[in-house]
Amino acid sequence: MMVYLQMLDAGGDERSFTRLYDTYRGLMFYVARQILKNDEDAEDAVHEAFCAIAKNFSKISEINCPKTRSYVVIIVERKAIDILRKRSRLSQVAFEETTYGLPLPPPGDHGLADAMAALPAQYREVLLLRYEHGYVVREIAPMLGVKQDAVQKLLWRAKAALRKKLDEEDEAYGERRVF
Amino acid sequence: MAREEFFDEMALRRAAARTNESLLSVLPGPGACERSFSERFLAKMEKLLKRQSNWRIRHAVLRYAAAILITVSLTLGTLLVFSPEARASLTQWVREKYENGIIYRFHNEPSHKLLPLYELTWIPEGMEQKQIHYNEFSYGTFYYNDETEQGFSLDYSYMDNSSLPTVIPEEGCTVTHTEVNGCPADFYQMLDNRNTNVLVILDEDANIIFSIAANIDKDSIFNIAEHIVLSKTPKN
Repeated sequence: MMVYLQMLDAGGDERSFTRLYDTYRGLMFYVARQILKNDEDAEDAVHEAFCAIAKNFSKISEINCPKTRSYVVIIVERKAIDILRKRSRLSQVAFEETTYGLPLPPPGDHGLADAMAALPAQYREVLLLRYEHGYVVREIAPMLGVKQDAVQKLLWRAKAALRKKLDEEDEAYGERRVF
Repeated sequence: MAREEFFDEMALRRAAARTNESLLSVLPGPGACERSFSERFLAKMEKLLKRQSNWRIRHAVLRYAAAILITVSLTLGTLLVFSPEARASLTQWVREKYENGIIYRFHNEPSHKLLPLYELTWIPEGMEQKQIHYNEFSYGTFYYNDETEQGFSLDYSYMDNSSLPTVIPEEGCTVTHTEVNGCPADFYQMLDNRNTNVLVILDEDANIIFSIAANIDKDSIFNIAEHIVLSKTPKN
């Protein structure tokens, strides 16, 4: 109970969800609007994203930092794309492979990073959550609102798409790289 | 070749770090993102913020204690697979096992009525009320004895399908199905007396679930529970 009281007595809580909301709602709307091209849908995506973030709020250690900024953008991009998918007549895999989120400039390594940045959004998102943010499949599943085996399959498809993209580039240059 | 062996883990980490930098580089600064959100959005977010605030208070107890009762909105994630364990006679509520916890699920639609106000007509000697929160979704209060470092929380909310009270007992916890003031109740007693025991009371007539989480003896917890009385029914 002491911990509880200390928290209450601490006054300003740097990790408060309200602070996260105040800090990122505008940015998250901007990202969702870029994808959905519609204010109302973008607000729905932002709300869904905050719901997902709330569920996993313990994963956030600091509000105002690049890691959290990136994390909230990934989640809202995903939620915006989920809204697009509900309207799509494409199959799950076809949708994944043809839907791009925020356009990213190539990081400039002429290799794996450039290929990753050019992947469809859902592949790039799951790779970033796994390899940049360091979350394991069990943690990513509730963030994306899917089961663990779906995350595992998404990771496989993301890596396959990465390999394919690199192979296409290799063909153009007449070599095969190993990572 | 296994599909995971496409790439070296370190190479993927390096590539992800660079891709993340690219992602951050395309995002606008805070000034470019100011926006007046719609009333509809603000109302939805206000609900979420209130619920998240309640969750945080209880989450803090969890970090200290062995068991806790938390109430989270369905919107905070219920896409989980449950295995039914018990069902109330009137199917108003269901007690289910989920992983290492017990979840209480309710079938009623959310009530639009304001929560009635209950009060405690008995508390253990030396306890002082330290915290109280009350909104249209839930009520919670926290009592603490500074000398003995013992305390208890009382929480209640409507039993409707917008809430998912969950008890996460520690290993060695025993569960007793009992009654308090004629209402079905579950008592979760931890093996270690220093940990928090939890009493859940399901008042089917009032459609309200109460919980008491406390690091005090069982008799005192039941005594508190038996002294929860209705003090005010708000006009809706």
